[in-house]
Amino acid sequence: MADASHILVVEDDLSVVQGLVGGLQRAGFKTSLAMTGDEGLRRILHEAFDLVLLDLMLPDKSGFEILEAVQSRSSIPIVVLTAFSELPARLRSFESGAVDFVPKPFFMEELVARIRARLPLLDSRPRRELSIGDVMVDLDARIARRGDVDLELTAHEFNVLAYLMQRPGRALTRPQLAEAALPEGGDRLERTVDSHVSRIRKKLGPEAGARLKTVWGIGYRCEEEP
Amino acid sequence: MFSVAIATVALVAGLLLIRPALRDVATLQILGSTDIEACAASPASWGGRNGAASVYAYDPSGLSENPAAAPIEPTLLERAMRGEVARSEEGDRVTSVIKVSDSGPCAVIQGTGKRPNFALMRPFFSVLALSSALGMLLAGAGTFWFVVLPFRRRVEALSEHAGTVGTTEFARRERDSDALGHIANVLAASHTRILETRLALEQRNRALEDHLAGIAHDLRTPLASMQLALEVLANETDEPLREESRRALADAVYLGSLVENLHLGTRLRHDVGEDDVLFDLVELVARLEKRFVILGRHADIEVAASVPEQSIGVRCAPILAERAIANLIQNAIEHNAAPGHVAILLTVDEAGSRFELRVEDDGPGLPDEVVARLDHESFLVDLARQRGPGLGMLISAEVARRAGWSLRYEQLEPTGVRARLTGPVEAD
Repeated sequence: MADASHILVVEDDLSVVQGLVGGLQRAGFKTSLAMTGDEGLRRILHEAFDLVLLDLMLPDKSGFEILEAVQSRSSIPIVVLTAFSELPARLRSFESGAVDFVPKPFFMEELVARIRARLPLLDSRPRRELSIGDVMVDLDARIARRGDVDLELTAHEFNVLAYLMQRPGRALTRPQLAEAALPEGGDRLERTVDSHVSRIRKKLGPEAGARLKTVWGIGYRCEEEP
Repeated sequence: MFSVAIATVALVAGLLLIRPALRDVATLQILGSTDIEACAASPASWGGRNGAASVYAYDPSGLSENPAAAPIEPTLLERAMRGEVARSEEGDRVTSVIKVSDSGPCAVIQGTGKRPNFALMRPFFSVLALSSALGMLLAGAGTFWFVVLPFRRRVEALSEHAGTVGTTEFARRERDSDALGHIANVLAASHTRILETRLALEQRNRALEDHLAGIAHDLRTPLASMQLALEVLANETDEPLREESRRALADAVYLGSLVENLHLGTRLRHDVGEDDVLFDLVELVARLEKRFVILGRHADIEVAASVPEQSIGVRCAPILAERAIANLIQNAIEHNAAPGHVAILLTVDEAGSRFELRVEDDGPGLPDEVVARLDHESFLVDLARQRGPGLGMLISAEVARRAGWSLRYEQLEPTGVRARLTGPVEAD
């Protein structure tokens, strides 16, 4: 979905442009480039982009001027990319309509994650049927099955698995899992969570079970779909 | 000067008051003198009486040739002849007998008179003492009121004045040309010098701050380009170039942090603070996790964070807080050994009034003395000599101190270090 998104990069520094555009293309985005403020503003107003990456310091026009000019005339999300890191620059960017502020230097991977988080979602309804490897989990029917075979998770095991799967990529502590997925007043010890996860892994099988990662110092995490 | 005048006036007043008393005393003195030669020449007519006083001459047996002479007391004569000054008192009459020669009609002289009435002199002494005391009191009061008090007021004013030297409250008031006036002039000159020096220092600090901000800004763009290129190399090249690229990427990230820490350290040292605002600590930690997961992956250190579902409002300058927490995480990664782990746990207490952020690693740990020192480091003292990795820890500690948070380090068993940042949760 996001990989086909079209991103306009408004940046004048060639060395940054090279890494940035290359990184975006490797992440699957379609990119266009504007190396002056005037060109950037014109293209934002007259072409269709899914998102704009805007440098604040441009040779002919500041990024703030572009933000202010675009603010009431376009709904394209604009992510500011700048060597300014001070609070006033951040505040002015957000006040002028930027949806995010990424200070230089940055990791491409982080920028891509931020861009994806800002791109319009096609379907924002909560997902009620989730998959983990070759296992499908139906949150409404409270069933986990591989093909047509019900894995016969207990109520507590299902709660723990559902809680992890609804927060993919997030590390969750054992107390967090216990509090959210196990009944109040029952056995909410950390080792209880460990034994539930151990049984869930066995029932899920090697492929899906491996997606439930133990996180050192914290607890567990359900890895996102690759 | 005034007090001397007061004392003189008091003394003259006292003397005027005792004059009658002095006159009375004079009348009580025994009149005449004992001219022995005149007595030897005419013993029958020597001596005489004047009022209550009389004086006559006698031979050694106590007989006088002057028929008007009163008889002499034998005991007094006997004592006088022995060489004493014989004296007797009867009522207010006093009789004194003295020997002046061993023979002849003028060998012994007897004088009689009234005893001086000291009771009459008592008022004189009382008035004298009272006048003196009054004079001294008046002199003292006058001196205190007209000399000491004004002097004290000037010294107090000067002391207050000295306390405001170099501040906006300073205002020159002392105009006299005496010693205090001279001190006031010196203070005014010092005040002017301090203001000039402060202005020059502020201008220099501003220039340095602007210069440093400019350097930091100019460095960020090439660092961004370098980091992007190294990230590609670290992800896409083959061994051993990948390993080299990862090390270079870690150095680039460290360089970026160093630029930020030096910039921030200088700003903090010159007290150029950022305004505190209310922001969500959960969002900040989640954002930092995303950044450091990538850095950790390149260093083969697994970084993971656990944050609560609800937001945690804290009050601090967001840039300072971000730098402080980023330094804790970056230190945990950089001082770890691959393959290693870094766990970031953000929690709130049951009352929802305090947050706790723990950054734990399973690296080789820090020496006990370093952990102890980190708990007691003085930012301003140590910043001057810190240039390397310790700078980040100092900045974290200083930011925590300014925000009213607590930052403590502890060793973990069997290995590793835990940094524990705690502080109050602020309501919207």
